[in-house]
Amino acid sequence: MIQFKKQFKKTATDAILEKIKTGDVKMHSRSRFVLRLLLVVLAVVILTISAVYVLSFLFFVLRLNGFWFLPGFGLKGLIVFIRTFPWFLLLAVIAFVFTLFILVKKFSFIWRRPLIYSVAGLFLLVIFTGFLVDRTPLHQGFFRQAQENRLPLAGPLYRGYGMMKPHNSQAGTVTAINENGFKLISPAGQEFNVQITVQTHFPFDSDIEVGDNVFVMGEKTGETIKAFGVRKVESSDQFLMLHKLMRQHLHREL
Amino acid sequence: MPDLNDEELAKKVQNGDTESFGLLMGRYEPKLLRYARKFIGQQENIEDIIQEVFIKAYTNIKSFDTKRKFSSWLYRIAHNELVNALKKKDRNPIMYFDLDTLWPQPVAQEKTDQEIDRQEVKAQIELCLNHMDVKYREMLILFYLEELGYKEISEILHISSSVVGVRLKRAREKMKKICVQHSYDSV
Repeated sequence: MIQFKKQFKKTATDAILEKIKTGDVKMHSRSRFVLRLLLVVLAVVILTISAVYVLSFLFFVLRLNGFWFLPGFGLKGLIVFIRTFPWFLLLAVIAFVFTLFILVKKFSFIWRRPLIYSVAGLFLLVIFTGFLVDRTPLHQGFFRQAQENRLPLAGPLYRGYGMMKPHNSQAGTVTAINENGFKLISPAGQEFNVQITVQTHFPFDSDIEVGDNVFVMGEKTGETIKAFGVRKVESSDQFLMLHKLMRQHLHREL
Repeated sequence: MPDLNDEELAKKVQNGDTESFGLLMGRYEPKLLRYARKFIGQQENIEDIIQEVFIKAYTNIKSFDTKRKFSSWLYRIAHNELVNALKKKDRNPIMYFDLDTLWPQPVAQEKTDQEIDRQEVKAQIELCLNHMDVKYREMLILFYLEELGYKEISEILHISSSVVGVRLKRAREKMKKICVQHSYDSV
């Protein structure tokens, strides 16, 4: 038995050496590993850029359509927020970060530490960079180009998500104050009567005056909106700047 | 030539010396066969699996960093091959993911573990090993039977040293329970 084992052992080792000598088993070149590493790095870079881009676009879409105002309008606002939130974009970001994590977890600097640090680190990096990108004029520029039909590939994406305003929401400028509420003119030039009731939420409790830009949520019946939430939009707010942009575009079209 | 350490031999292999690879195979074949038999049980194709490990080691030798430990690198290849063999054999998903890898763990106490008489534990492991989950079984094999340190196990399994400590502790506790259940003397 021992004799057989020794014989087998010799044969197994010799068989591999024989395969190496005959060229059946070949050593991969160093450049192959370098290339593979470069491909992984490239994939990591592409995935990071994709995740940051989609997340910054999500921030832009939320800002453009006034989603951030909804949770301040109480439970109704929160329900509308959850129902109309662009979940697909968020899922895309999670998918990119997850794939990114699968790629980088092979590196020792990742697995040597608790994975929660790496996962949290990746998410924080993407969120922070996405936030910074959102602060740049990138998406605003693309949105403008999309509205002017000058953005061939991403155009439908910007137009589609750019117009996905929350259900029963209306942005516009206050033109008159009356005893029931106020009159509003939308960026498209449509007039609405906004009715204020005791149930109407005013998240920052500010007085509405003529000329103020507001975001209103409520039940629309013809030209009347029974508001359950009114939020004054500050002149420095990007939401307002974007709506001015939309308004300019609409005026140009008219 | 036999005086050269594994990493020096691996460097010679990288430069085209196939005889040095023969020496490395001679050093590691018995160890890997023992590891494989304990890890996946007696299988007809166990020698084929180990041959495949050596073939993969040879083809990928240029990716090996000679500043690191050759044994950890080779055991990593063996670990991957054996896990694949287990997947084929059992056809059931192997739950290798461990929540412990997610959260920070207290610093591993290797010294304390080494103080426990390995020989004494070894005898218990031989009896209870087959009844244990794969991830705990492998931990006991690598630490008690292959006598590898935390750092080496960490590099083979791609988990942090603190997780090695926690998993090893859990493995011992589970083994204790299993040994009692199967009427063996506990550790």
